[in-house]
Amino acid sequence: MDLLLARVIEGVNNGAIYGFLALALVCVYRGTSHLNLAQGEMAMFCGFLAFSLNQAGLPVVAAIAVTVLAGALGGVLVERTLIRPLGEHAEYSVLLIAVALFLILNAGAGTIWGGDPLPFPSVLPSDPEDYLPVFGARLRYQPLLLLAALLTVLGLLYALFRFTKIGLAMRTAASNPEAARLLGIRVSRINALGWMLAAGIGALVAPLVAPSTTLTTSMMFNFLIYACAAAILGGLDSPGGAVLAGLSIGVVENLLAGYVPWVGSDLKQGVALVVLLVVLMVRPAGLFGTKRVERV
Amino acid sequence: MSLLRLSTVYAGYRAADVLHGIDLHVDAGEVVVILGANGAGKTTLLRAISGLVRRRGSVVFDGQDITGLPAEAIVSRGLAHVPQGRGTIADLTVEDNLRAGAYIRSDKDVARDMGAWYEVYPRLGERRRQKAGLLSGGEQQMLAIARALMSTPRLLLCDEPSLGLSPLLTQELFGSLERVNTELGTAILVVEQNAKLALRIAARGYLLETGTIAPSRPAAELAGDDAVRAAYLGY
Repeated sequence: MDLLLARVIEGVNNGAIYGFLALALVCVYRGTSHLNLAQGEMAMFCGFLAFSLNQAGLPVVAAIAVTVLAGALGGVLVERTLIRPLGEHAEYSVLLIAVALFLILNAGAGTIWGGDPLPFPSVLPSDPEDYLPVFGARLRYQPLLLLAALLTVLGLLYALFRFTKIGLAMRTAASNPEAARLLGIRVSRINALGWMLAAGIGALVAPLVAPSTTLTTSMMFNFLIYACAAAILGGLDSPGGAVLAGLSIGVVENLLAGYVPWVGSDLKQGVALVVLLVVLMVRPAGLFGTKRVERV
Repeated sequence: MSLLRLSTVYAGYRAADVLHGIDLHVDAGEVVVILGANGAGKTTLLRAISGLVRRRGSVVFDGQDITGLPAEAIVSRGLAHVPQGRGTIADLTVEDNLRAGAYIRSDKDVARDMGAWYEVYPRLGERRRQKAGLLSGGEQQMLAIARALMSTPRLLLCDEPSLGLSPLLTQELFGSLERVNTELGTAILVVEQNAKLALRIAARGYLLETGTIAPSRPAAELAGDDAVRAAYLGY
């Protein structure tokens, strides 16, 4: 029982990372139907940025805050200079740009900060004895913070979409870009805003994850694969779906690794993706994706 | 002075022009119909007016040259466009569709105007929390028109509003367009393939043939013209 709980908790901890990155993927995908493969590297780069700011004397929380702002600006910059000029219906060009961005950021971070893993300070105490005991299992503070941050961001996004005029414009543009333009909505700005949100979210994830993974140029690679899976499972345009799918994948994968002997830790990624495949065969639009509602 | 005036407008997609020197005008408060066969360029003409496709020549609305403006900057000048077919924003509720229609407005009367549309079209009121994509074809067309009018335009462009509707619904639709025109004073430029009803509410009509347009004629004259009847009215 204790072991089960511990495995679920660990699954949730990992799933929160998947869900967080998936949320960022969804922010871009909703507007433009582009899956930003460089999302993980953008986040990683921001992690290093936060490290340098912290080294320069900023307290870790302030360093993270500045990084989130810088990341958001960087997202707008990427959209304006690399994505927007390609025009509409440029799916393959955007895919190539994303791969290029992936490689540039990866190599860039390696050049600037070197190839060795760097330690990143945690926001909350993370010594071995810092935990909340729950039925014999251990809830650690930093993963709890990550989960809380995830749910907060999700709540803020929901409120943005639901209750604000700019959110209405974002939903309109996502559903029917041309009709949106005819209503006076500047769709290209909405898309830039999507990139801004995504990059800002990525910039928040990396420094919160880094204390447990250490800072390396490959820290986000595995997470991004899971995040893509979570975003797809969640339906690609549903923030809540992405988060729930991320958490579910984390838990399912961890339970499979723990209880199915031949899976172990080597095969767990593959098995998690097979589960995803099976779900998508039953529900092609994902668990929470918008089924195209159209009557003719 | 005309509310809208096009002078030798060329427009099209990428390499090829679809419209070759269009001259056309709509006066304030007037209903004008454009008749044309499939592929004549009717939809492109409306898209050129509202800025969705690039155009050359001169498009003057309300005394100002809007030829160089993109679509999203034109609606706030008082020109609304109901696109062909799936004009509704399918994933949004009926209510959000209307709210999005008022995107350029910042006055306090938006809620009141939405209520007014629910009275005009009770079906929309009943289904205000449903996704627009689930409405019937007729309801979606009503919603698209109501949404466009939420921006309080002075000119409404309608692209084949009767497409896919039953004869009865088409009649109802043109009845409400006529009411919009007489009660709100909104000028309407409507493009139609089957134009009997459109000619009945219009003052004037243009014939568009493979990207060129002839000078307008009174609607009654067009409706009585044997050649027009054979080509566009189907009787």
